[in-house]
Amino acid sequence: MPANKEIKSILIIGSGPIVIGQACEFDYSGSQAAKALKNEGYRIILVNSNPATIMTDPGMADATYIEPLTASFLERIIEKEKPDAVLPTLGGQTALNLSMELSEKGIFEKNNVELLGASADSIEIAENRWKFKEAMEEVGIKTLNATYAKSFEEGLEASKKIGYPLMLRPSFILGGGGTGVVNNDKELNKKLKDAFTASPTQEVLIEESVYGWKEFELEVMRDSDGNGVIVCGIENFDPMGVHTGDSITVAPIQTLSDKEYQLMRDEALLCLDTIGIATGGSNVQFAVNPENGDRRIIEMNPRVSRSSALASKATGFPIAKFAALLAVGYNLTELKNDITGTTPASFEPVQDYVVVKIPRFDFPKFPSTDDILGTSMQSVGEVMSIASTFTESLTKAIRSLEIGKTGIRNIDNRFINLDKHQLQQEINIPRPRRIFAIFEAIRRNWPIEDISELSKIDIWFLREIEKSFNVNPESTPTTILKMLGWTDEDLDNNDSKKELESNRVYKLVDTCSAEFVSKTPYLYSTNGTSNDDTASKQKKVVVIGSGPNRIGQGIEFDYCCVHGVSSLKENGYEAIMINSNPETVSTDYDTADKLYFEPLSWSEVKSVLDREKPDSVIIQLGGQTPLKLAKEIHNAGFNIAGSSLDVIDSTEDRDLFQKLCLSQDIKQPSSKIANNEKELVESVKEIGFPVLLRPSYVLGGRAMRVVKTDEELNNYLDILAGAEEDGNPFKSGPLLVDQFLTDTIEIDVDLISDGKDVFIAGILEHLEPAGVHSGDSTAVIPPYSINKEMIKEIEDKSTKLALGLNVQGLLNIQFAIKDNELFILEANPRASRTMPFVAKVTGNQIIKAGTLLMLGYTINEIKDKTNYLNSSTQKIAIKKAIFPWSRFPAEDTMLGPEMKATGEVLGIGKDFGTALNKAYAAAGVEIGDKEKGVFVTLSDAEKPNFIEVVNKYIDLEFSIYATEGTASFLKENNIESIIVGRADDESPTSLTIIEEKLISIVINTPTFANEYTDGWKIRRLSHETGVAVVSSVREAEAFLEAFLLQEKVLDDMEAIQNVS
Amino acid sequence: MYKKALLINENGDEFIGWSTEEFKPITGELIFNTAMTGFVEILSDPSYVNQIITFTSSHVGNYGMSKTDFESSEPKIEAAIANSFTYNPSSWRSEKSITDWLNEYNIPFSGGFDVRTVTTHLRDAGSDMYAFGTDIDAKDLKKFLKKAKNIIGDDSALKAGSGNSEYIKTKGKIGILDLGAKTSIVSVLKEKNFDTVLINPETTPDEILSLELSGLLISNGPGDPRSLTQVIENVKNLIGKLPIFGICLGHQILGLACGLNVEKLDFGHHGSNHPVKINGIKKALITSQNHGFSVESLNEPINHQEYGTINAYATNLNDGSNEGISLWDSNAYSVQFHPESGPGTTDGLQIFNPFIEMIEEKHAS
Repeated sequence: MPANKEIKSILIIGSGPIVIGQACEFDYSGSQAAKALKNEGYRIILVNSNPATIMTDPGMADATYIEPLTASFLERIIEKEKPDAVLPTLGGQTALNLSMELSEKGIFEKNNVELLGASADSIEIAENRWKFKEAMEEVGIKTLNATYAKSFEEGLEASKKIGYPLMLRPSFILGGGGTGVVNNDKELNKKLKDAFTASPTQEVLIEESVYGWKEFELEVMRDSDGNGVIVCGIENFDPMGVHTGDSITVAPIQTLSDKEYQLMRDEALLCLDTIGIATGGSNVQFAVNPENGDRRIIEMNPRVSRSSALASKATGFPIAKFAALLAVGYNLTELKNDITGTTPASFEPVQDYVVVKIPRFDFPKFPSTDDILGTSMQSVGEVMSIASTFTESLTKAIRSLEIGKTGIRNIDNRFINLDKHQLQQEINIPRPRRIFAIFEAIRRNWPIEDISELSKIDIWFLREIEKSFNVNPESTPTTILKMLGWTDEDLDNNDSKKELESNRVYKLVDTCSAEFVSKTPYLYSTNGTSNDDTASKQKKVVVIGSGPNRIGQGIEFDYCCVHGVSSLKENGYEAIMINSNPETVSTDYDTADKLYFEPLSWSEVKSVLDREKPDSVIIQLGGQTPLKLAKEIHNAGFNIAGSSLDVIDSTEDRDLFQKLCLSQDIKQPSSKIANNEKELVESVKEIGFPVLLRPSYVLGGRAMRVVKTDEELNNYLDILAGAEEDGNPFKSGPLLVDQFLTDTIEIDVDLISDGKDVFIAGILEHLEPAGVHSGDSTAVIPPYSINKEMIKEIEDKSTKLALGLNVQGLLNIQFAIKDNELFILEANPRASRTMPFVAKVTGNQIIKAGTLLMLGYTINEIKDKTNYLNSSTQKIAIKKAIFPWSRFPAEDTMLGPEMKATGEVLGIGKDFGTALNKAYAAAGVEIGDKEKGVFVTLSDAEKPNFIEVVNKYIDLEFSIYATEGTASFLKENNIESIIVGRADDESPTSLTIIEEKLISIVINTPTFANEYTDGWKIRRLSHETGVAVVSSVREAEAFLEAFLLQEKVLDDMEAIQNVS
Repeated sequence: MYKKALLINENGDEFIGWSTEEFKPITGELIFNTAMTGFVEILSDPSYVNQIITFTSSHVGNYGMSKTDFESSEPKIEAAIANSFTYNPSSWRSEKSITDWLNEYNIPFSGGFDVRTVTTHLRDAGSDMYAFGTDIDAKDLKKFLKKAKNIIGDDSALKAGSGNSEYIKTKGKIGILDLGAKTSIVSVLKEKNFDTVLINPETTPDEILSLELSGLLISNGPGDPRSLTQVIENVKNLIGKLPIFGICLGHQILGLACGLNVEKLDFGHHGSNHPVKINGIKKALITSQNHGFSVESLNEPINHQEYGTINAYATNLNDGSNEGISLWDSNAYSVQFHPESGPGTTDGLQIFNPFIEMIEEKHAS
């Protein structure tokens, strides 16, 4: 059936901020869908609260709303834009849940909006585990023995019946929060309670546990004619028990025979038919008993998922794009396979390579959390690799992780030094590092059966790895060595290295194992004898990507890479992308002219540069990852685009930077280096509390911290000492001691420069007090509390610095204003986290312009020849950070100098209050849905500062709640408050008032301690229940502005296309 | 220790792999198969007689060999090459490794090949006769090509099956004209409660008719269908006299019997992922394929003097090639793909239905 032309306009709902379990793969799917449907002539209305996305670029849709993803905002947008249909299946669980809510509220019906792809009923069946189970059993598909509990008591009873081990799964949750395995009575109470808390519908499924079974996922596409194809089968290296998002996974499936695979395929297709998924992409997950092949269906997602993004990249089959086209009536036989361009899309891709995905974790940022992996996802990013064998692919994936590992034979001493029992433990308990423990056990020649027994990992994978350890490099052909995952680093002599390198060829991902000719240059390297493509003679530029997402380096940098690539293409360069992250738009084979899906380690990058011989290499767009390669790129004789190596050195080297600032008359906070405790005490004395402390080499868990007192200093030293075997906190190197400026306002400046002229793209003012990492802070553009003179000074100093450095391209500078004096904190000669958001709200395409500056264009030329820098609008926009606290229940939600946020949302408005209100709403804090109450709990030192702002709350008729000490201080200042008890007191306590929604904001000045204080509990509970927590007078005042405008926010919405 | 494994053709095109075993040189038609599962079925499929299979899948043999997956009693291929063979399989069903299994039958195999390069070459240059050997130099290996059987005119289908010429109690059974029939074909019919009897391909039409079969299935098999002149003649005389269903080589035989042309494809269809559109079925089927020859496409129906209307029945959506014909007036039809799977999806099983309906006299033409 051709496209349905009765529908004229389609609403696409995005997935919101990057959170664990829902990352930039949904930007990839949303962008693909929007592009495809726009091409078909539909009017696209797009809503997403995440400004760092490609999908929210003005060109992607006809009307784009960067607005909170809540029912009330969506309802207003639907009333305004009157879409004919909504596509709920491309924005992850967020869009699906939101669509269900809107459907239940009758909003779609009222506005005559058709749900495309899946009906509300089908979504309900797929998402409600009980209904799903019933539906599956009816058609003979085996599910887990399970009972569904609506209350805690029912849960207890059911658990006893099923017996241990069992699994708890709350309904309607994202990425598995609140799920867990229960092994005994002791664990049951707590975990059952958590599960009920996590479920918005108060439903928990209690199931038999299939811990250790083989785990598989099938990515299925279906159209309205009933054509169903399996795009990709994925086998989990880590078996059942570790969330698939946290598992190492492999495609295609390796250890199932055709008979078993076909049975699974039949069930997956039957599952979609039964649930009534009319069209689109779904993933179906299975567990298989390795003893006898007994099979259970675990779940299906009636939407495009994280695995679909992986499957698309793994096969070259664009699931999201096709899902969108199928939803409007096409069928698979009418669509062409994008990659071959000649064959139809109604086929099943085959692979002549192995894809390995490894998740990337950031546990050191969450020191109170044990890094054991379970059924709740905790990884923050992932890498994918492609090669001709499992072992070579695994090696490439390990290299892609950017954790300093060169491959499977590169084992840490920490494992080499373990005794037998310790190593067994490391293999038995799934942690991010388990894979390296397995390498060590194989190196020690442990029987593979034992390793498999301990880890439950299929013996086939382990034997393949074992082969790599069992070969003698002297007597083994290079091809075989490379197939077994040997790398340059594993070989001693240069000739062998060279020979290994000469075995590297580039092959195409083509969906068909070379059966048909493919013209799409989506490439990977592997061992082999011939290349699938050749380098062109065109003018070309290589863009090095940002690798796996991690906290601090995420989607923002991919956005920059994608913009860099479009700029190159728009200006006549062949754009070549290298990246290792499957979640991104930059690794869509449609983005660059040529895509190398490769690790961003030097050997792989060099090899690409050697064959492509690009005119320039862009290292400014992918965050820190490409900067780390700068020296090697330069030394190998390649031309780094824009700012030279010196610029990077001048900003990264403390002494050079100090000299530069001095020469440009820019103030810096004072700083010292301490090599031992005595020097530390002296430095602190000289600089004076508070100081910012950080190890010169940041290793796991050892973080920066602001220290205000001797006690906090000792506390910090204890933590560092605890991480060292000999208890010496200086064992791993000196500590850096910086003057910490209090009561400052922090500023971010994003600019571009050609070395002679500077274009200041945006100045952002942070709301939080100094000491909160800029990535975690709330940032306002334009600045709202800084006077004109200071703005001028910021602009002047920024310009001076950019020219002093001779920046060609991008520069981000962080300043702090203290007592009307400007201090520089740091400068980064590359894209920043804030640039995408600055570009979006100012309408100036600074990344595209910056890319041209790197290639030698001048700002004037760009202004003349392109429309990149001709916007003059400036909305008030506020970025709020989004944190993964729900995944790390043991952590304090207090913010500090080390970044913890995974994503961001944007609030845009005509005024500050509206923008902030929306930013809060987008971050899950709906200001208006609680009683008017403010809870004040302050440290002694801070108490006097807050009197004025508390009075402002009183003027607005807020009820004041306070802890005892704060209450008596307020009373001394003639402020009456309701005293609340400590957490373990009788109600009302600091916690009950939050639970009962009596308050809409907590004003809390945290102190640093290594224990679970009341403050810790208050902050966590507030976060979990969507109550605002602020720690400074500025934030408390700002909140009031947002509060006052809450009635009006819904009226202040405009598509970004109408503004600029 | 690794030994160099070599593939070479008359033109001197050569490919190198690495083997830990030593094998005597052999020759065969070098083809590629893109299926990612089903090595047991593929290796034991009699249609692969005289062929050297290139597995494009990265790892072959991971889950080991199990006799229940056999398509005949033993591996039928000349040799197998791949990127990597698994010596130590992992599966609860595994009886032995692919390597032990092939060694048992002295069938050469070798990993370490750049199979993508081989496939690309075959795709662009067409499949060809190659000699395969280990630890032998190109010149010596090339000599073996002289003894190689030509692909054109290969009539090995006559000997590929296990059908004999003595039949007992055949009344009402489905006869399978055995040109190298796969076990799965028998199993599918068995599951549908039909008894079958394997018929020697050189059995005369009169004899076949005397068996009082309920229907005749012309099986798959190896080689050049055009060389099976007697079989074609026999089939000509059977059309219209009992329900006939042809699969793969059987399809080509039926086509030839109807006077259609059969040509060799450049590199054939070998894999489990080919989309096929069937007349009267809305969704496309993902099919299992294994053939080097193809029946000409029917752009419009042919009115056959004896058999009535001959229609196109199925079309390959990748290249538009003929995947089936129907002679409903004469109760006969055939498909080029493998509806019985083994290996491959179960999408095609429904294609047996018209045959069964004919047998049960329920088929509406």
